[in-house]
Amino acid sequence: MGVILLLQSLLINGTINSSIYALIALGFSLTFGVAGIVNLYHGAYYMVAAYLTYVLSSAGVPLWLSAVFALLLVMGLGGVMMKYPLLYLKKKGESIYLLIFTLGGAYFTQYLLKMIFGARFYSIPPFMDNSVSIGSEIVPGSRVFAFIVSVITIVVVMLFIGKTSIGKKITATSQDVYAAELVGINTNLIFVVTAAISALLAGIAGVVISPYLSISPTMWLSTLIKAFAIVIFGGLGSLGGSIIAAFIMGYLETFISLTWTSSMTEVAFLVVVFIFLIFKPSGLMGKKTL
Amino acid sequence: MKKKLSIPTLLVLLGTLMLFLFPVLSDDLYLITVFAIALLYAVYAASWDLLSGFTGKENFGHAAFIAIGAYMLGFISQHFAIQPYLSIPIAAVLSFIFGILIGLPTLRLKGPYFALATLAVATIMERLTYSLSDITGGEDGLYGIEFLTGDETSSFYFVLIFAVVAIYILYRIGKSNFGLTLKAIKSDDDAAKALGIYTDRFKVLAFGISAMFAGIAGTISGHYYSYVGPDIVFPLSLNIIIMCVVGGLGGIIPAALGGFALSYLSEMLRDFGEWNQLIYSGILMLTVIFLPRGVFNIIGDLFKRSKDSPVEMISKEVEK
Repeated sequence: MGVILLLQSLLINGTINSSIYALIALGFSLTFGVAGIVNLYHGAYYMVAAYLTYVLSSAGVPLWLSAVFALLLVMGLGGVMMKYPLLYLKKKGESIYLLIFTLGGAYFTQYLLKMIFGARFYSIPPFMDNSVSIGSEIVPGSRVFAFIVSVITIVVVMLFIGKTSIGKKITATSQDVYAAELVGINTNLIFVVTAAISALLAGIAGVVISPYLSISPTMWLSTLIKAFAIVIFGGLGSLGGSIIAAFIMGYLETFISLTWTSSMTEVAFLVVVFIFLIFKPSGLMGKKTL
Repeated sequence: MKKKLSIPTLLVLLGTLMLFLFPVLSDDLYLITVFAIALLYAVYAASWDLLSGFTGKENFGHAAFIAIGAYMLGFISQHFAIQPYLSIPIAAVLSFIFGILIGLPTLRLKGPYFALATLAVATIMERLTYSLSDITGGEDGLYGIEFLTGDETSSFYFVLIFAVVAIYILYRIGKSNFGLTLKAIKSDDDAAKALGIYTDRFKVLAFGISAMFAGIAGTISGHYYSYVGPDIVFPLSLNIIIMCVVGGLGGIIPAALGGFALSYLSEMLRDFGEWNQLIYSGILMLTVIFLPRGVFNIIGDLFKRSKDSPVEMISKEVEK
């Protein structure tokens, strides 16, 4: 492969992959930044949204509508998860129980979906049929659609947090929960809203990738590990850092899969993060020191 | 003066005795195998507890250490038939060193950072197992390992004696100054440092010991099955956490009992097929919410409380 073709492919595919990672990592980072909870269930939102879209669309509901329903349900799931078990465990103060509960919940979801749907792979029809040619590379419409949706979502969420009053309450809660309560913010409600937004972000990622990646009961784990790695790489709780880290890792991964083998991308990913953890545990843009 | 044994200790000893007598009383080879595997799980859980239950650092990649022991055995067995008396010391040294090597850079990390780092180690090893299939056998694993001993009953005794010794050593370590220091580090790292404790040394050593026992148990399981493969090693990371949390953290014995009980339970649930894993992870979630201190810790406390209960105190008074 010529160098120019490689670069072109790297730029196009890397950008598309990175934008999806940014979307997933943003939600993960948001929950941690605001509520201080490392939600290992995050990958399951991604998976549940994909399955729900598949179920609804194969039951005859129009694709767009089923995606919207699936996302609403996943938002609800995120809110309920936060409202009952997670806040209850958070009050007990031992982070180990939160990590274990959310990871156990994700496995529970995996086994449940495997029982209902079997270990088969599914996919949904593309949202956008026509492919787009950029330079000499022909990119399938579903991937272009995934990119556009994720960029729009990221921009909207960043604007929502920066400009609206709920967004400002979220920021205030993330800075100091106690002080936020003193000025009259219902922090428990803010936690629930944040969790719903996080779940929505993961859900959107799950829906837009399912036309070109397969839906399977184990899809959540590698996504979760990648999101976790990206967020720690970027600095836990730093939204900007997560997005930058997502792009660095997305390009790295695409580069390795183009020049070497796609089976080693995850390993390379984790090795980079592992080395980074050792030398700079606070991440690219993390403010908290360890 | 000899210390009086408490009721929970007595029950545990009685249970161990029953296990020793079991092959004499019954010739149910199926149950013997189930117990042998459950004992290995008890050692896995106890070794996880020494690091994570005592220092509060959640190790999400304990399977990595088990894999070191198991794959070392599998690799050597491809070249010559290595016997347990040789492979166990090698596994001990190798996994201890590996534990120290992983421990040194990661133990500065806290909470989620440490969890991710250990998860990363185990995941990298799992991926490498699949991609370096020339050495590791990939998905099929490695066969042709020497059995522990000639027949099933003596293999069972081998595993039983190993498990009792290993868990007892871990329990003594937990009760010793070393274990208490680890608990001090868990409650407040900085305060422990202020008391003049080299917290990093203690944590790294705990990591090494935890890895060592996991590695030895991994080797023994390789001998027991005469097989090493990704399917029996890598799902363990999560299963061990489930067992320890359900059993109870920070006391070695409750975690080991959790390992034994859940391993037995999952064998009994085998008839349910796919329900098995679902029930399993469901138990985990419910335990974390309702019994976060662990089933066996709570049972132990019930006995303690009854010792001081008014009824008993009165009855003691009457006896006098």
